Amino acid sequence: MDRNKIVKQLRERRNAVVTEATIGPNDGHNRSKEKAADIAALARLDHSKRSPERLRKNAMLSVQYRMEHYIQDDQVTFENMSAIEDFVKDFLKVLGINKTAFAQYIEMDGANLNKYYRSDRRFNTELALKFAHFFHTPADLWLKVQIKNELLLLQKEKQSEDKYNKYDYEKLIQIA
Amino acid sequence: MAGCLIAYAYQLSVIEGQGDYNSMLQFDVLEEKKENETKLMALYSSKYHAKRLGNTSTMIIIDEDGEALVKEYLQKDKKQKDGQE
Repeated sequence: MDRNKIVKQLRERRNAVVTEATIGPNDGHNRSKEKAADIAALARLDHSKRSPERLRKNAMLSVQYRMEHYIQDDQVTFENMSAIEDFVKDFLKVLGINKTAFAQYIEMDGANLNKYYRSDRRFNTELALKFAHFFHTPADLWLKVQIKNELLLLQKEKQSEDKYNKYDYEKLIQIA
Repeated sequence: MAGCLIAYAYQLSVIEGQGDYNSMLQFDVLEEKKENETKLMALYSSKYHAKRLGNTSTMIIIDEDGEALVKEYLQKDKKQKDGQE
């Protein structure tokens, strides 16, 4: 299947996932309706005090934490991997910046940047540092995503090892 | 270990939390004796940056406090390795 189709399907699937993040007590200490309402009111009050900068920061951290979890997630396979471009798009969505403006800001040509996204050019440390400074993330995070995706590709390629069996120094020595 | 788990739970609240509850980790401190509850709340407050919600037995970790917790328990080693701190 075409890689773009796979990425599109994955994005749709990712958007459809709804996670229940509440861990309920199992010892009978369920919250009463009154307490739940009190907590909801206090949460609303706290939320109303958040500045636009804080809300933006939280949204940015959400993307960064997803990157960190992605790197550590053993369940990710080649079929459901996230490209560096996916995370960049998520950051840019939070900031309300389009990818052309982003490319210009980090002193790159948009078409050139696309080549890095498509892996036509190797994602490098300079780019990782530019992304890190722009998005306020650790630089190594971007390289780790890149390396993880390359390892996922390696795992996939390993399934067709027959293609590589001919590359064996023992065969060369036998011929000689 | 507890710090790592709480920090991880906070990260999930940033990623998955909806509406008013985004970037807000809540937990109830429930002990048979009130004095134990108070002691525990003091510990969570000093060690994990948790704050008591109003006058309830619920504590929350939000925003800067959660960010600091994550840095302290999940990103500290990484930063030391990178020589950033």
